[in-house]
Formats: sequence, C-alpha cells, structure tokens
Amino acid sequence: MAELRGVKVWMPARLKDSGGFALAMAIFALVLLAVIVAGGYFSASQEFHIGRGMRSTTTSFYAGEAGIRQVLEDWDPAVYGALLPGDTITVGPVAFEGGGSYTASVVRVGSAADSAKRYFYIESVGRPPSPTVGERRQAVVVRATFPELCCDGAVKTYNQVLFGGGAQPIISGLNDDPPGTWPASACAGIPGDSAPGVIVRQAANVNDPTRVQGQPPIWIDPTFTLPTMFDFGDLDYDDLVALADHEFPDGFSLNNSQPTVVDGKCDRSNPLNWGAPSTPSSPCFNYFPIIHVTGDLSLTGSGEAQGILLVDRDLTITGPFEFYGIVLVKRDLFMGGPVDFYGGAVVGDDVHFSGATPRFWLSRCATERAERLSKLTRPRLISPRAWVELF
Amino acid sequence: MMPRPPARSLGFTLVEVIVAMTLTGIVVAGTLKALTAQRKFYTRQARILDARHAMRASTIILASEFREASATGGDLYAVAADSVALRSTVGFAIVCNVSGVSGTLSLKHLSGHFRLDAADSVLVFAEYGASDADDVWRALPVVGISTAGSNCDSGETADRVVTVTGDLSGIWVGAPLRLFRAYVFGLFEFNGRWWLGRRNRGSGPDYVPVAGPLAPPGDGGLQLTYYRQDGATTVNPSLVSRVHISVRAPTDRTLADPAYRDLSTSTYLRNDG
Repeated sequence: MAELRGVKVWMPARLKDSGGFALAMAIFALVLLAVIVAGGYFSASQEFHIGRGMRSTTTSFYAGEAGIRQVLEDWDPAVYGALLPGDTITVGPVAFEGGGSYTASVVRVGSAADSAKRYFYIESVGRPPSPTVGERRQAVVVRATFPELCCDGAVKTYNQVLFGGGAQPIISGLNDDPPGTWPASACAGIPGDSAPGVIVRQAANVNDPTRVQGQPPIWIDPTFTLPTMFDFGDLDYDDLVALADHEFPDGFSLNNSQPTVVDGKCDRSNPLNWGAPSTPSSPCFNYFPIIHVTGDLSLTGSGEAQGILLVDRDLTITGPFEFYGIVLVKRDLFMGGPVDFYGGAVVGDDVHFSGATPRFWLSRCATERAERLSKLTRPRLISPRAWVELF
Repeated sequence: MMPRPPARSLGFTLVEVIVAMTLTGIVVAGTLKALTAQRKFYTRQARILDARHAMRASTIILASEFREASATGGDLYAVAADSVALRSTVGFAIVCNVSGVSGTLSLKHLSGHFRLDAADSVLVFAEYGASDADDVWRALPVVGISTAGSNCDSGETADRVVTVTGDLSGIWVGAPLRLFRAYVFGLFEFNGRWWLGRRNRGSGPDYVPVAGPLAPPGDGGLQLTYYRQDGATTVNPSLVSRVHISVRAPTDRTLADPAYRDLSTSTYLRNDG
C-alpha cells in the first residue's frame, strides 16, 4: 500500500517494485562484452606493437647496413688514408627519404709501429624513422691496402740516362723526405730505406755516372722488359689508367696546380687541382690525383704539383717546378732547368737532364703518400668474417 | 466511502514463473555459449600468438647465427635437415696490444659477453705478408679474461685482456677477435613438447631450450635447407652460401590433434668473401 498525501492507496506491484534482473543481466553482459573487447584489443595491440617493433628493427638493420656500404663506397683515401692510429671520423647522421637513418664511425685501429697494416673499424648504428627505438649496430673491419708501384730505385729506365749541359744535375737514390713545408707527421712511420739512383739494363746506358747517387748509385738489371716494367703485380699500366681521376689530351701543359676547396673539402672535381704539396694546412695537402695524359705532357713555369702521372708519350718538366709523387712515362722523360722531383719514376725510353740543376730525389715518403692517399688505396673487407652484428 | 482494496497479490503465477525461468534459461544459455565461444576463440588466438612468437624467436636466433658464420672459414661443423653445429660468436673486439711473452691480447671496441662461462675460445685474425694469401683466422683456447692488465699500444685503457695459449705471431694491433663457442642447434623433447634447443658441441647431449614449443621433427618442426652460391642445395658445410629456415609450431592444446602454423625465412652467410 503506497501513501499519497498521507492517504494509503493501492498500486500495482509492478509499478512500485523493480524486482526483476534484466538490468543486472544487461550490466553483466555489458561488462562481459567490455572484458572480451578489452582482451581482444590487448591481443591485437600486442601483435601490433610486436609487428611495429619488428619493422623498426628491420629498418634499423638495413639503415646500419647501408651506412657501412656508403662509407666504403665514398671512401676518400685523402681523408681516411691520413688518419693516425686511434683517430676517428664520424659520418652522419644521414637520413633516408623512406625513413631510417645511420651514423657511422670510422676508426683507424692499426698501430703506428706498422704503417703497412692499415686496419679500419667501421661501426654503423641504424635507427628507425620513429619512434626512435630498436636501433641496430653492426660493424666491419677493413684493410686499406695499396699496390706498390714504386720504386726499386729513383729512376728505372728502359734505355739511357743522359746528363747534358747545366750545372749539377743529379739523380739520387738516397731517400730524402721533401724538405721545408712537409710536417714530420706526414712522413711518420714510413720506412726511409735508400735504393739505387738509376736502374738500367746495362752500365753504358748512363753517360755520366758521377751524377748519380744511391745504394748503389747504378743498378744493372738486364732482365726487365718494356711490358714487365709497367706490370706491378696486381695492376698494370692499363689498370692504372682505368683508375685515373682526370684525363688530358696529347700536348697538355700545366704551369701550376690549382688546389680549390669547396665547403672545407678539397675539390676533386677540378681537373687542374693537382694537390697542394707546399700547404699542409690545406685540405688538398693529402690529395694525390691520378692523372692520365694520352700523349705528351709538359709541366712548366714556377709551379708545383703532386700525384701519380701516367704519360702515354713524353713528359717534359722545366723549372722552376716541384713535383711530388710517382710518374710512369711510356717514352722519354725530359727535365730541364731548376726542377725538384721528389718521388720515383719508371721511364719506357730515355731520361734527359739538361739546364740548371734538375734534381731527382728518391722519396719514400712522397711515393708512399702518393700510393696511400690516391685512389690506388681501396678499403677491402678482411676475408672472411669481416662483418659483425654488435650487441 | 473508502474504496475497497482488491484482493492481495500473493506471488507470481505458475505461468509467470515458467515464462521467467524459460527466458532466464535462454539468456543464460546464450551467455554461456557466447562465453564458451569467446574463450575458445581467445584460447585459439593466444595459441596462434604463442606459436608465432615461438616461430619468430626461433628464426631470429637461427638467422642471426647463420648470418654471423663463415662457411669457407669452417664455422659450420655439420649441417643436417633439422640441426646444425656451428661456431657461435658471443663476443667481438679489436686487438689493441699483443704480448707474446705473457700470451695476452688487450682489447678495445668490445661487444658481447666476454666471460669465460660464455665461451672459451677465440678466433683472431693474423696476417704475415702483404698478400691476402697468407691471412688466417687462428683459433686459440682462452685461459683467462680480466678487466685489468696491459694497456693498448695507444696508451688507452684496454676494455678487457684475454690470456690465450698458442702462437701469437702475425697478430697485429687492429686485428679483429671473436670469442666463440661451438654449439649444436636442434629440436629436443621436454615434457612432451618439442623445443629449439642449444647444446655445447663437445660436451654432453643436454639441450637448453632457446625457443618453442615447435612441432615434432616428424611434423617438420625445424627444417633447414642449405644452398650453394649457384642456388643448388648442398650438404657440404663449407659450400653453404644461404640457408632456408622453416619452422612449424603447434596451435592446439591436444597433442593428438595438432594444428600447425608455419614460418619461413632465408638468410645469407654474411662472412664469406
């Protein structure tokens, strides 16, 4: 009996009492459904996160891999070849358009005591685009090796060495580091052993032996031939031509190197940039281009240059000119006037010295720098087991 | 005059009770059926997820091991369709000092687990002349690993110093070093289920589970196919260039009526050439 304004009145039971369980059942069902949906969402979300994590780590792996490949592809011998043991160069971070990035570091890990074994440890960290979780690290060990083109002696020639006119022309096989501007660190660790001044096939081929110094001054080797002179084991002349940075036509003449620097880096694209041998602070000090000339080449004027010259016919150097490096001349080498040549030469025909004080000094430092800092030096993965995935 | 109240309702009628009970039964039965179906669905889904996790873990572990190996260098000792014995690299470093007198190699650029309980041998790169022909990875037993000892040639502090027995000639500063242990990976049974396991190759048959459960060997729980460089299959460990890894994992609870999921991947051996 319900009360209405103090009066007890009868009302139907269904209107005054909610005694059913539909609401409870509905709530129970809703809770159940919520639990089920939450469980489903949790599972799906876990799978999603696992999938995303897998994708991230895979992206990182290949980004890191690309970093190593890119470092090897872009290997600049003038930069990496000049690293001292313990030195590190960091590349990146470099981002890819499709996502992911890498940061690579190149460490010269060899010992100063052994300059020939040039080990580099390249570690690359790959990262996914976003979120930045799941980075992967991998590394390789490479050796930057170079074929030895030079030199059994200061000058090796197939025919004659002819000294004429002028005062004090000289060929010296007594090792001599370039004087003056080259810092000691440039030649550090390079063995300084001396060698013959000239190597010829017979003694009569040198018209004035008093002009030659070395250990011994003249070395007679009747066995070598024109083809073998230009065969350097792993490489021959044609292989070297294929490696040339720049090629010039017959009759080309250079009066001075024009080292150019762009964005703080030596501009290797400039064909007249033949290094900066007298400026150690220049980024081009360590740049030794390989130059191929399809005929005759002249180096004239008051200039300087460095590198590896491949001359298909005659090379003429008239001073005052200074050259540092290696020359391979298929025919004659003419040196006239005050010329200072530091390095080594292989000449397919005759060597002519004339005019005032043309000097040819064997320099192990100049020849090894030319080999080590030019494109002759390529990084090669040690074989096998060069690659490692880091933890 | 007061209205006369109707006769008092004393309860539900029989018909009302029957209807209510029938409806309740239908609702409860439906709910239970839905619950059961959902439970089965989630159980199945959970098993599929578990199977996927097991397969993923198995392929990742095996692919990682194969990727690190060099077939030409002899890292694969024995290859079979459902197992492989190989050198497993557990640590990597660069030699920064060599002392032939004390038989120690100081290390920098460390990665991995440099502990004697993790591995007891190293492979270290040795070279003699300028030619690659005389290069060799020399395996040496490790007798000690410490954090103290000689420093690097550069003057830096070494991260670890390993003491080895054997010839250290030809090992230069900068040479890479790998700490390794010879392991066998294969299927083994434990508590009625099959697992991808790992055991030391030299000592005892006891496997340690690394991932699973997987299908029994007879149902293709682990299938390894080895390929040469030219794409032909091979059973010669030194000729392996690529490995196809196929794993299968159970998704049903009953062993008598298994249903399986499959996962396959291929990996190249990265350390040849």
